[in-house]
Amino acid sequence: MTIRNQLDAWHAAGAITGAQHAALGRLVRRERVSVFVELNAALYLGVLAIAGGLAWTARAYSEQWGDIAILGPATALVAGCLYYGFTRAAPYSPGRVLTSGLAFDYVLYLAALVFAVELAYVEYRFQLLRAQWDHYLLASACVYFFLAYRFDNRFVLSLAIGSLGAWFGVRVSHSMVFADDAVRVASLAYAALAAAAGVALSRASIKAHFLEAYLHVAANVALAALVSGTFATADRAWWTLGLLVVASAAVALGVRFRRFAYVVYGVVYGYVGLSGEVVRHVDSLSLALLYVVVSATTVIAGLVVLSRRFGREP
Amino acid sequence: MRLYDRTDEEQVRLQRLLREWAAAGLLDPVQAERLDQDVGVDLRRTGFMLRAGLAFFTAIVIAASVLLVTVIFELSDDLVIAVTCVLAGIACVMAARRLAVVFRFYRHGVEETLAIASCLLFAVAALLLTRQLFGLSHRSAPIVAALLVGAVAAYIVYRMFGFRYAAIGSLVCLAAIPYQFSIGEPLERLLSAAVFICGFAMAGIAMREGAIDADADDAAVVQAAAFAGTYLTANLYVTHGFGGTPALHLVDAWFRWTTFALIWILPAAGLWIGIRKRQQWLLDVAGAAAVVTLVSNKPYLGLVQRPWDAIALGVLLVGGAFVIRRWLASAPEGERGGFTAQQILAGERERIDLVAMASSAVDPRPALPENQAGPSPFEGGRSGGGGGGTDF
Repeated sequence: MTIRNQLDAWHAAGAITGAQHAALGRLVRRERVSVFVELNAALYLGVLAIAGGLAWTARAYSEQWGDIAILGPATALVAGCLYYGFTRAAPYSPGRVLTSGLAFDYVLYLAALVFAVELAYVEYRFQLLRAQWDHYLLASACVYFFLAYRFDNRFVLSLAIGSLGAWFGVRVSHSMVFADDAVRVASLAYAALAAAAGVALSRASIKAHFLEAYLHVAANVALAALVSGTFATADRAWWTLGLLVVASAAVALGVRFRRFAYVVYGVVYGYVGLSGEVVRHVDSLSLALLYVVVSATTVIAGLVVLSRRFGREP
Repeated sequence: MRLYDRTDEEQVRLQRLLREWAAAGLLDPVQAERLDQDVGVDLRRTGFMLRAGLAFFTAIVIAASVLLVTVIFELSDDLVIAVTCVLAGIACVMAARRLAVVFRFYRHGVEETLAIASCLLFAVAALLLTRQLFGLSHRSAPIVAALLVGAVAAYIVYRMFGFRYAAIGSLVCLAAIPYQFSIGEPLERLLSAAVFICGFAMAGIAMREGAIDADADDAAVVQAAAFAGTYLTANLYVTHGFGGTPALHLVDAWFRWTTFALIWILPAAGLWIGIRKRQQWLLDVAGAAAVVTLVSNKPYLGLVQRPWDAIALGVLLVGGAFVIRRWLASAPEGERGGFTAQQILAGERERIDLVAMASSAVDPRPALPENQAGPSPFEGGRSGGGGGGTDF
């Protein structure tokens, strides 16, 4: 029986109303198609292209055109976008706020991106903070957090979380390479702060729907830092112990709250870190491969059981 | 040949739609729950992340198992390794079949990886056997054999399990074969495009003749992929950029200008068909191809790309989206020809939220030349994120 037949059957049996039958039938027959995602994709790519082009222009013509010619239009653009945001936005609410138009989120995102370009340009040209340039990151993170919460904007929130991570010395978005213990410790501190801030704000019912954004970043940064620690030259045992604790917590909390992404994070990072440690102590290649076959099969069995017991059908 | 009952697959699709409709408010939750109970299906599925995790570990097990056999028995002869790959491939496909038939796994990660691994193992076996057979006298023969076997195996996997990506993989393998014959770039690309066009046409037929809606969905995805393949085959700028083939200016003028015309015609044709038939996958791919054409235009014409080109492209995209939204919204009930700019299903918003979450990977800062006044304070920094970084 096709879906159309099933809808007809439900309609005939009175399980759905005539209006529902008509509306759902149109969707199934593709007589009504939404291009909402496509338009959002065009806006997103467009905003990225504009900000990227502006940055490229600043790079190529800063000497030739002068600072005013670069900073003037960029500042006007940021000001215009913010004016648009503040004059068109719905009043602040701690809950989810539906945006007042398709372009609204992207106008603010554009302002945030261009602001980032401007800050970097100002420091490059005038070197106001010199060795303390990291303060720009903290300042921009604060501005982004304010904008994200005021306008309920997830794009700007991602920039804020990324900038805060950068201030901590974590290059979250570009590589997961943690060269030394100092960076790993900073990463763990950042992950703890991000997770704590996300949970605290969620419990205070302030944009609780942002929680996932904090937790995904925190989980990945913390676990990646710990895994890199297990491959370090010194104190590997402590990093391995820490990895086991955090990975176990991710799995347990993921199962408890039915957030299986965290279960997978915990299992994958935990497996990689632990296996690295085990394989290091095995001299024979065939023994190491046997370990991988047996252990990975066990993990598969565990995940299948988990998905059967706790997982929901997609 | 299909291991799943077609009705079951349609019911799976209906179950997913019921949840989407309930989340969008088109059905009330109690009603959706009641209807969901009507849709009895015993196929075992799982969420995306667990599926990905299971696929990851299954791939590790398969790779380690084959390596283990090779190491334990100290296999070095191509023929023996090829036989091992064939046996491993048979074992994989049998295991995948058993998981699907006996344990009713459906898009569960494990049976998917096993089935795809069998295609790869058969392809490797074909490569090694052909190399053993022909030696080094026919350099392209082993690769052709691997691609051919890979294509056939992937098609069989598609027929058995219905994995869309297996059908696409089969098409890509077939389309890659002409490049192995050194018959000149125009002919290679023409034959490759012919394969994709055949795939496009066959998917179109499958879409019309599909017994159930799920068949039409599969065919629509394959058709869009075939369109993307045709476009990429035609766009010399994109493929020369990534493929390492001779630079664009070394290509014959007639060939260059023919493909230049094609990269404008194809997106327009794709958009036209997509709009006329309301094929969203095709519409999306054709839209993306149109953007790539805009980016490729200047290099094709031998013009230098300027920084403001990116700004112009951005303004065009934003302006285009804005105009289309206004145009659709101004029609009665915000709908023209069946298209609306309104969000219908909750999943549409979730996809955008996912992109938003991943957008922390975006770094708009330019790499400015070094400041003459002294070392840039951004140099040697530790970080990225908005507002500063190592290489501003």
